[in-house]
Amino acid sequence: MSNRNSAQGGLTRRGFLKATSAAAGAAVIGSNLVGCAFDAANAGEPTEDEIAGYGVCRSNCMQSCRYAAHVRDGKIVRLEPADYGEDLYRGSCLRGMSYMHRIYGENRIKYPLRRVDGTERGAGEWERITWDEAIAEIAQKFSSIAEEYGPQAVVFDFGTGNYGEIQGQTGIFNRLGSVMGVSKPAGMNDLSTGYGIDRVLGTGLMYFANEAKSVLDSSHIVVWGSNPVHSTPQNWRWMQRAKEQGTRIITIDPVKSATAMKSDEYYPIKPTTDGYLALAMSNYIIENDLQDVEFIKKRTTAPFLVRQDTGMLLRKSDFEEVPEDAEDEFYVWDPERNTAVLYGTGADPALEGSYEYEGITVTTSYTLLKEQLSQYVVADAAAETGMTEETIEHLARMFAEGDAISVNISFGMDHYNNGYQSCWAIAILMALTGNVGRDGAGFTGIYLNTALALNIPGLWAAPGFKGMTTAFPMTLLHEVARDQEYNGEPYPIKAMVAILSNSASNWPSQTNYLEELLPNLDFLLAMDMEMTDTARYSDMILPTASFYENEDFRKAHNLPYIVHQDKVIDPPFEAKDDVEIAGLIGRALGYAEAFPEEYTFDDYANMLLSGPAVEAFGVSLDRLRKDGYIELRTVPGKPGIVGREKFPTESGLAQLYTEKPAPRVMYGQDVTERFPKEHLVYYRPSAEVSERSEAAKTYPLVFIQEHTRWRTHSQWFNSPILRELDPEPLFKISPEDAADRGIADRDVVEVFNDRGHMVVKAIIDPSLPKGMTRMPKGWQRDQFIEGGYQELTYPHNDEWSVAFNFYDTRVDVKKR
Amino acid sequence: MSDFSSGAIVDDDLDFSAAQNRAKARDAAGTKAVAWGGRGLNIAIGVSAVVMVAGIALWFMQLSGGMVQTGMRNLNSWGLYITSFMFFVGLSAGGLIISSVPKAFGIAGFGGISKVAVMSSIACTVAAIGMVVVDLGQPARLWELFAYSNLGSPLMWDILVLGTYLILSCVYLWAQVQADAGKMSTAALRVISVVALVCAVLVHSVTAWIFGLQQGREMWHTALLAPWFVSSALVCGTALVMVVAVALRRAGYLSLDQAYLVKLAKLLGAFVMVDLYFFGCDLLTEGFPGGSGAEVVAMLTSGPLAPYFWIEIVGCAVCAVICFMPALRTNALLVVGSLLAIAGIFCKRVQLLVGGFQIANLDYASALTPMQHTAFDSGLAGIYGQMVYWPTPLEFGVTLGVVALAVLVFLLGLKLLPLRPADDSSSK
Amino acid sequence: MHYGFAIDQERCIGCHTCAVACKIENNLPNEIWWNRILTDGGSNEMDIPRGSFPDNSIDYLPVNCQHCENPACVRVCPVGATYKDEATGIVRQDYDKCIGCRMCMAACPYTGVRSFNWQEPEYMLDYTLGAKDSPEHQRHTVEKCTMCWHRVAGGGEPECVKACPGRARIWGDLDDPNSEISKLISSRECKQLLPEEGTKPSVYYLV
Repeated sequence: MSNRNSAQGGLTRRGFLKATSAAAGAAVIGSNLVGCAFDAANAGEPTEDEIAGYGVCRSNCMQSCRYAAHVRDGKIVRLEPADYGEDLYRGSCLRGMSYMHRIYGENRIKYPLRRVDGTERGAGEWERITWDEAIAEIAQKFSSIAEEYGPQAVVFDFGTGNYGEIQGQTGIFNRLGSVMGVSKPAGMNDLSTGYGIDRVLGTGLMYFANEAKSVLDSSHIVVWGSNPVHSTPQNWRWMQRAKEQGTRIITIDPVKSATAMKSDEYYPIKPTTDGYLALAMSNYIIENDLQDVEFIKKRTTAPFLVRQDTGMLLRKSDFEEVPEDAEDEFYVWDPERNTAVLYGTGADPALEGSYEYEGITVTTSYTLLKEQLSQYVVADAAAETGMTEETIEHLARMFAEGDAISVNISFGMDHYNNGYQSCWAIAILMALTGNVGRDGAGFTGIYLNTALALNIPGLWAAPGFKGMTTAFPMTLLHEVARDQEYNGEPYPIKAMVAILSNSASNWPSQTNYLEELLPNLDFLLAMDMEMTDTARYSDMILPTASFYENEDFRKAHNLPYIVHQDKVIDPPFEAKDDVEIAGLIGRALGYAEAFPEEYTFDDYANMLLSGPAVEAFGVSLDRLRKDGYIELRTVPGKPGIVGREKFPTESGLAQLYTEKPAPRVMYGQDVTERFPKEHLVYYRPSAEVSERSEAAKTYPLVFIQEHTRWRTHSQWFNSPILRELDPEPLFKISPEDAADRGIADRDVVEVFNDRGHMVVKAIIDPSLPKGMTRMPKGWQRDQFIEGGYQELTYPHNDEWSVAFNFYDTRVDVKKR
Repeated sequence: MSDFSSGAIVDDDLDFSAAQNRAKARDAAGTKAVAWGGRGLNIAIGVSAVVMVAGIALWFMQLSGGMVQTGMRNLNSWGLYITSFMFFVGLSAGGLIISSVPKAFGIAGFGGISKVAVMSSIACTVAAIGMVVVDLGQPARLWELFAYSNLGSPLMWDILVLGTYLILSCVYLWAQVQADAGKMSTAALRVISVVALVCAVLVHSVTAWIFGLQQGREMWHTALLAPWFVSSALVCGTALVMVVAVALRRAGYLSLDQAYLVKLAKLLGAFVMVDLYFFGCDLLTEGFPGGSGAEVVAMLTSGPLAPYFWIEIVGCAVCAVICFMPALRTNALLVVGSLLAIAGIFCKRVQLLVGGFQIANLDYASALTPMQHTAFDSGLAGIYGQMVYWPTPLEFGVTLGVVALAVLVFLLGLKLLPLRPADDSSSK
Repeated sequence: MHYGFAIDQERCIGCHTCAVACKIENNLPNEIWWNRILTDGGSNEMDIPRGSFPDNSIDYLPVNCQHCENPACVRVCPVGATYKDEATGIVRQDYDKCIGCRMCMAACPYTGVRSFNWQEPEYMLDYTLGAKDSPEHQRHTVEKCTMCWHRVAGGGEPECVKACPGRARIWGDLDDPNSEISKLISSRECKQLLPEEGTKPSVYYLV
C-alpha cells in the first residue's frame, strides 16, 4: 500500500514514457523493403459494398457529422465517418460511431406501452398495447380535453433530440400542433448568449456565430466560458489546426477546463463576473485610446444621437412624416456644419459630444457608452473577477492590438441569470476593437446557416391552421399547471406530449416538474426511443424511429452544408417515424386534410424545400438524395462570417446603444423598472453564484454541469458501450473543499440545497478552484444512488433574457 | 521388476547385510510397524482420491463456466495455479537432489530415505504439471505444444525439461530399486544419479527463466533468479524430505538413525542460509540504486506483500536456528522448522508471482472493466492499494485437487512400490 | 514494409472515439477493449489532471498493441500463436492456436494491452458488428489489437485512424521515408512507451 500512496501523492511510476530523439525515430527508416507478401494493388476499403446509405448525426451537440452506414442482414454494422467538401469537416465521435447500440440495444422501446392502470407514475409497470389502441386512446384524450378545456390545454413540449428538418424539433409535429392549436411553452435553452449578442449585432437568438473554419483566419482565439475540447470537438479541430498555424489560444474560464489545458494562455475568473471583465477591458481600451476608431465610425452606431428626453435615437420621423415602408433614417452630428444631419449625408460625423438640435438635447451613442463604461475600472474588476489588474490590461491590449480575434462562446456564461449581460458586454468589447464582421473576427460556437431559409410556414401552416399558443415560458409551466391559471386568468393544462424531449431530466429544478407539473396532468405522452426520465414518468410511450430509420435532411450546425439522411434501415420492432405518427394522430383527430393518408415524407419535404430562397441555392430533395450534401456559402470558398457586409440590425451597423430594449418573451412580467437601464450595457451580479448573493451565505459551493464526451445532454445516457467506459455518475469537487469535508476519491456524498439533493460518488478534481463543483450532465434519476442532479438547479429565469439558468446554483456537500 | 507389480509392500527380503540394524530400528518403531500398510494408508488414499475427483469436477466447472470464476484478470493474469506450479517444482527438486547428490558424488547419503525422497519428487512433479494444466485456458490444445513447438519459449523449455524430469525421476527410482535388488551396478546408478541431478538443477533454472527472462516485470527480471530457484528448491525439498522422513519413521514405514536427520537438518540450515543470502543480495541490488527497484523493495517490506515477505524471512530464520542449534534438533522442532521453511518458500512464490503484477508498468488511470480486474469498480487505488490478486474458492478447490493428486501418487507409491530403505552401504 | 502508428498528443483530446471504433470494428466482446485511452494525469482516476489549480495539465495516451519490432510476446509463446508478420511488421495472434497459457500477457511490458477472454464472449448486440471477415473471438484465448489486419490486408487503414476526429492518429509505413508517418517522426519530437524494455515499439507518440 505504501508504495502506491507515496508522499508524492499517488502513483510513482509515471515518467516511463521516455523521450527518444527524432533521429532515433528516423533510424528505423530505410530497412528492407523486400519480402512483401502484401498486395498493395488491392487497395480500397474492403467493405464498401455494405454501405447502404449516408446519414447525418442529428443530436444536439452543435455538430453535424456525416456517416456512411454499413448494413449487413438488415442491420447497421458500422458507421464510418463520411466526407464533406472539406476534409476537416469530416467528423466523428464515440457517440455517433456507436449509435447502433442505441438502435438495437436493450434500452430501445420496442412497442407502444401504457402505464398499468392503478400503478404510480414512474413505477415502471408497463403493458404492451397495439398502435391502434394507442392512437385511439391518444385521440380520445386529446379530443375530450380540447372539448372540455380548449385545445391549449394540451401542451407540446419540443426538445432537441433530433435536428432533422422534417422528423426533428422544427418538423412535422409543429404541423400537428398548429392544426390542433396546442400550447407550446416558449423554449428556454441556450438563449441568453444570443439575446445578449443580439443587442449589438442584431443576430437574433442563435445566429451570432461564424463558421467553425473561420478561426483559421484568427490571430487569437479567446475561448470564453466554453469547453470545445470536450463539448464541441469538431469545432476544436479547427482551433487546433489554427493553433498549429500560429494562432494563439486564450481561455477564460472559472475552471481549468480541458480546453484551458490545451491553450497557450489561461486566465481563471470568478464565475459570472465575465461581464465585469469585458466592461472594464472596454473602459481601459477607451481610456487608453486603443479602440478601433475607423471600425467604430464605419460599422457601429457610435455617432447616432440619443435624445435625452425619450432615450430614443434621433430619427427622421422626429421631424417629418416617414411612410411605413420607408427607412426611418438616423441623425448624426456633423461637426463641420455644427448641426445634426442624416447618417451618411454629411461629413465625418462626430463620435462624441452632447448637442442641442431643434430644442432637443442629444448625445452620441458613443459618448453615452463611454460614460457608462467609465464606472467599470480595472481595479474594481480585479476585485470582482479575482484576476490581477495586469491580466485585465494584458487581455484588453490583446483585444485592441490583435489582428483578428474570435471568441468561442457557446453556452457556459449563458446558463447564469446574468448571462445575457456577460455576452452583451463581450459583444461591445468586440465592436469597440473591430473584432466582428470580418475574416477571423467575431463569435464562434454554434454556427447556424443564415444563407438559406427553409420554407417553415409551408410545412407548419396546414389547412385548418390555428397556430400554437406560446404564452408563457417553460419555467412557468409547472406553475400554470398547478394553478390552472396564468396571469390571473384561467389557463387549464391537462395533457402534455414530450416530442424529442426529455424535459423531466433537462429542465432545471426537477422537483417542480415531478411534484407540481406531473400531478396536475391527466395525461403525459412520451415519444422516445429509450426509457428516459420523461418516458418513465409518462402514461404512454410511443416508440419512435432513430436517425437511420427514416429519410430526412438538416441544415448543419457549424458546417456550411445542408445534409441528407438516407433511410438506411427499417424501424425495428414496432417503432415508427414522426411523419407516420403525426399522420396517425392527426387523422384520428379528424385533420385528414392536413395529413392526407397518401402523404409521405416527400410531400412534407417538398413543402419545406419550396420557395425562391431554396431554389436560389439549387437545393432540392432530388439533389440532396443524389449529392448527400449541398454547400450553402454566400461567398464561395470563404467561411461564413456574421456581418461580413453589414450586420442584421436595422441600421446594418453594430449597435452600441439599444434603442428599444425588449424582453425576449413577454409573459406578464413587470419590465418597467429595468427598462431605462437596458439601453446601455451594464453589469449585474448573478442570482446565486455571485459571492454577494443570499444563497452564498448558506451554500458555499457553486455547482455546474459539465458537458462531457459521453453524452449529448441526456442522449446516450444508457448506451451500454459507453457505460463500460463511464459507468456511473461522479461528482467532482476541489481538493480543498474535499479536505474540508473529509471526502476522498469515490466516497459516497450527498449534494444538497433547499431544492433537492443527490447521493453520488465523489471524485477529487484539482482543476477546480475552491468553491466550484461540477458533474457531467445527462444521467437519469435511476442511475443515482438517491435523487438526481437536476433537483438542485436554480429554477427561475431572468425577466429579460427568459432563459434557463442551470448553473446559477449553489449547493453544499457532506460525506455519507 | 516384480516388486513394482506385486501389489503389496513386501519385506526387503533381498537385503541381507543390514538385517540387524534394521531389526534394531524396527524395535524402536515399536508396534506401529505391525499396522503399516493397513487401513490408515487405504483411508488416506481414498480421501486423496475423493479430493482429487472433487478438484477435477471443479476444474471442469472452471472450463465450462469460464476462468472468469477465478481471481485472475488481464492486470493479474496468473494466480494461485502458477504460484503452486513454482512451489511444487521447487518441492520436487529437493527429494531428487537429496537422493542423487550422495550417489552422484559417491559420498555418504541420508539413510534409507533415498527412494521415498525420489517418490516425493515424482509426486511433486505431477502436481507441478497438473498446476500448469489447470491454468491453461485451452487444455484440449495441449497437443499443439508438440506440434507447433516454439523452442524459443521458456515455457516450452520448461515443459520439455519437466517432462524429462518426470521420466528421469521414474527411471532413477526404478534404477535404485534395481540396484537394491542387485540388478544394477553402482556405477550405472551413479551415472543415472548425475543425469538426474543435472536435470533437477535444470528444471529449476528453466522454471526460473519463465519469470526471470521477462524484462517487462521489474520483480522478475534478475539473473539471480535461476540459482535462487535452485536454492529455494533445495530448502523446501530438503524440508519436505525431513517432514516425510520423520512422519514415515513415526508411522513405522521406515527406520532411520537420528544421525541422518541431524545431517539433513544441517544441510537444510545451510540451504536456508544460502537462500536468505540470495534474497539479501537481490533486495540490495534492487533497492540500492533507489530507482524503480526501490519500489519493489518497498512493496515487499512494507507494501501489500509484506506479510508474505516477513513470514518467509522469519520462518526461514527460525528454521535455520533450529537446524543449527543442536539443543533444538528435536523431532518436533525439526518438523516445525521444516514446515516453516516450506511455508516461507511458498510465501516467496506468492511474492514473486503477485509481485510481478503488483507494479504495473503503465499505471495510468483509464476506464476499467471486470475483465481487467475483479476490483475494477474501485479504481486503480482499489486495485493496487492491496494485493493485486487473491484467489477465489474455485481456485483453492482446483489447487487442492491437484495437491490431492500428488498425495495420491505418493501414497500409492508407498503402498505399491518397494520404497523402504535397502540400507545399502553407501547410506552408512 | 513496417507499419506503425504515430499519435499526436498535441491533437489528442482523449475523446475515446478510436477506442469505441476499434471495439465496434472488431466486434469486441463485452468489457474487452483493445485500444485504451490512458490519462497521464494526477490521480488514480480517469480525466483528472495533475498539478493544483490553476497550474493543471493532462495528457492522454491512447495505448493499443505496440506491434514491437522485438516483441516480448512472440518470443515466449510456446506454440507460436502470437507471431510477427514479417511482411508488415504487424504482431498477430492466432486464436485457433492459442492454448491460453497467458505467457504473452506476462511477457508484454505494456500493461493491459493484451486481453484474455476470461469467459465465453458475450456481446451487447445479437449480431456481428464491424468487419465481416475479422476472426471470431474465442473463450480462454488471448487477443489484442490486430492493427485491423482485415482492413490493412485489403489496402485499407486501421479503423481507429479513420475514426479519430482530432486527426491525431497517423498510420503508415515506417520503412518508407516519404510516408507521412516517417516524415512526422523524423521532424517532430517523439516518444515511445517503455523504450528501455528493448521491445522497439512501432507506435510513436508525437509530443
